[in-house]
Amino acid sequence: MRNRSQFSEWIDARTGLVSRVSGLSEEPVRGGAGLRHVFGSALAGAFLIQLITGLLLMTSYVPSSSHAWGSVWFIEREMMLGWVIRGLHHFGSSAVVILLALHLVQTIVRASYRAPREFNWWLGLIMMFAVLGLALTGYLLPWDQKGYWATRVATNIAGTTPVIGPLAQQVLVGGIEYGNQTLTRLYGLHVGVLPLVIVLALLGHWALARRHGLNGKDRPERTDTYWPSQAFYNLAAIGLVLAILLGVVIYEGGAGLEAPADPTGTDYPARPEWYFLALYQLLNEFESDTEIIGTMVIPGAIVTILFLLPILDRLFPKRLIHFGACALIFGVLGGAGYLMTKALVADWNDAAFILARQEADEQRDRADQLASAHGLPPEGAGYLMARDPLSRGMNLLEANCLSCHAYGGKVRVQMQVAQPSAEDLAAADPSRFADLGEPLSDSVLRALAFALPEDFDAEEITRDASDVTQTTVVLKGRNAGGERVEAELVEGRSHVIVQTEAIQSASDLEGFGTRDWIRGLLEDPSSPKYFGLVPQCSGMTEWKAESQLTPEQLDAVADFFVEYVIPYREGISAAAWELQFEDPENQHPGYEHYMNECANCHFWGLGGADGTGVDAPNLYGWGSDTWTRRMIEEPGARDLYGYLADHEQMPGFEGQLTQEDLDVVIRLLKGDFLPLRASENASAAEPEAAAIAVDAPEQTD
Amino acid sequence: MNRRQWFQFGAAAIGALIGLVLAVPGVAYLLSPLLKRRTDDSDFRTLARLGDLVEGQPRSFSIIEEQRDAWVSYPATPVGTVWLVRQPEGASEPVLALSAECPHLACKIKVSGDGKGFLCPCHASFFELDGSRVNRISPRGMDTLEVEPIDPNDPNAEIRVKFHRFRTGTEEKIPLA
Ligand code: FES
Repeated sequence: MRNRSQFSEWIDARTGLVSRVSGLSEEPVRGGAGLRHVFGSALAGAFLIQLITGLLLMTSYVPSSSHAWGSVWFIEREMMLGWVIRGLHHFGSSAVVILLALHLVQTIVRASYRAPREFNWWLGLIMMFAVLGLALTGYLLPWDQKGYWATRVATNIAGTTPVIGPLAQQVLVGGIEYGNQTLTRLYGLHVGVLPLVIVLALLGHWALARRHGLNGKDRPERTDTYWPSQAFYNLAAIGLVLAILLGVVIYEGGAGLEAPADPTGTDYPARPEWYFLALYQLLNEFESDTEIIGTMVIPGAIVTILFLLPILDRLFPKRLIHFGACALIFGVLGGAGYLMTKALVADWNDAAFILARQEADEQRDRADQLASAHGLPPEGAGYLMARDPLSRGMNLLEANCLSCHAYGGKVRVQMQVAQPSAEDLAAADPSRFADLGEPLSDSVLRALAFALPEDFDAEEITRDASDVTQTTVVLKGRNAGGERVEAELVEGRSHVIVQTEAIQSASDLEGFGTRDWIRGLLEDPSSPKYFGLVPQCSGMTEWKAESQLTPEQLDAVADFFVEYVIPYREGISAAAWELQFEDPENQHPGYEHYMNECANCHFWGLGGADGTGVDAPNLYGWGSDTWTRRMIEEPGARDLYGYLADHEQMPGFEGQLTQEDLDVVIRLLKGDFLPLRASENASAAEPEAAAIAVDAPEQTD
Repeated sequence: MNRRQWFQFGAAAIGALIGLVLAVPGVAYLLSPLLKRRTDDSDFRTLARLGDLVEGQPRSFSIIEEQRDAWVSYPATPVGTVWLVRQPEGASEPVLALSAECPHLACKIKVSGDGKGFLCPCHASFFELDGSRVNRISPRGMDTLEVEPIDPNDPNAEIRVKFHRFRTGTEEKIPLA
């Protein structure tokens, strides 16, 4: 600088810093300042943004399998503008990768790998791998479904390396299981090792770039210096990158956070970040015995060639190598683009993926809702969903109960996706559903014919064209077993989604163990909600036919249950419990009706009578957690439904459900859970109905 | 403005803008703990019955509360301690409630060896049974807590106290929001 202040003179005399900086900034830019030279600086700038936002995130993030998700959720939802910081960091990684690719292309096109810039080239390549390593390791850190599953895939790819693969994988993962050690190791790489590598390499890269000057044609008429001309262009480029990033972050509303990692879940549609999508697709291009070609050989060969480029340049004709290098880089980018598109198109056409994605979205929203309402349990995010009756409980109910029972009127709906190939379509018979009243195209008819079995009994077909983007065809009917079947397809796509509804053959479990349920039962035991579909449990219906109790008296019985029966406490003997009704003063009005009307059939505690000879379960503690748990575990016990023949009993689940699982199921039956967010319900008035709908798309193959 | 000046100005402006875009969310993010106000949802809670207390013998009671530590909710655990001191007959309030958190630097105050006062073990602050200072280590006496009015003649009367925290190291008793 021309006129320095006294202060900078003082500093300069002691450090030489000011002279050095101004010396650098006064350096001429070969060929004049311009956008040609900004790529490296923009890349460095984007990296700096990552560094700053990353440090900020470090102040709030916890690398632990129990609390990583919670800390990221907290950053995202509770901290001021945390979503902006995390969003910038998340999308910033994409910016770094894009700028890296541009810088690489430019370097190759300009042949800047040639002497004397070999070391610059190699340092650049090292940084490129460190950057890709950062992208990969960063993906896992939130410990959400996305990161967890993608990292499993990535580390397993590492594991396929010949000889050292399995060992490398075990070291990286910190064992065989994915957990705390995986997270801390990858975290160490992400925030320590890799950034250090990059910073050191960057210093070297930059010093060498200064030493050799920028590559470019000399243009004597342009005599720009680095400051301020080139600095302006560089800053403008960085500013542009940041502006785009900010726009994306605001448009996307942040980086997003999937539901917490669930190692037991199987149907999460794991996909890598877009810049790894090509590698992912490359993997899919090969059969398992040649997979290594896709995971190792091809990427390895490309990398080796890139590293050897400056040497090849000396051994072979320069122009030939330069042409080859250009062809290679554009070939790789083109190939990557092709593979990426292919992967995206495949997903777009893959109904199973779309359904799984839908379910993942619902889980994501539910996890967010639970965390907002109650925070996370101290044991960690893994228990967030596992203790939620609407998530874990509903899954268990669907898997175990809803093939016979209903919940809120819904039975188990099995979803299958039929994805016919061209030959399948050609072989299908288009005439099967041709005369159901809707004019349908041949391909739609063929797809339906392929998806539905011969003995399917079609009842009704509808074609909905109200949505301009897609026309949906729905065919309803019954299968050979009499189950309701609904087949749906979108015109123009070949896959058909077939939903099969189980036939309800037992009571509706919604509200079981509550006053509403028992009051409803007393009112109309023969409704399908209660025992109407269970002929072996006709006792209540027979009682109802005879009973003279008024609605008020039935209310009293229900109240009696709520007050004395359901709040069963472990440890009190039935005899001791009954004593409280000895004193006629203390008798609840419902008690009298109970004794007169119910105790004829139902034992309860020790008392009650078996006056009529009709068998019925013992009602002592009915509706309490203990009673319901026993009913689930051993319904055939002597005091429950042991009087029924074996084939008439409900199957017992003893030993099949853990204590925690039983608890969430029982809470689900009682309706003891946080209702779904109203805004996400199609019908806010019916939270339960919507709750079912959420879990309905179960994936079965 | 010549070309050089134009570039200088532009570079400075863009640089400042970039800095601003990063600094504003960054600072807000770091300062979020300041911007978050916890609503005062503390309520009177029953700690003991009047008959449980003997004049001249302070007793400590735990304040049990569900706790939220950033994203984690802990089930009810003790979050603080309160000393209850029965006052002599005829005093305006039958019970005095003192927070066990030392106003000096927040150590936990216990009863002194002779039982005639309170002692903070960290830096040897002494307090009288009414919470006033004996020495001048703590900037103020022990913090009194609000007690719901009770009937002094009913030994079964519930003692209900509102727990609160106060800033340490100040002469004034400033509630922490
Ligand atoms: S903290 Fe109590 S005396 Fe210092």
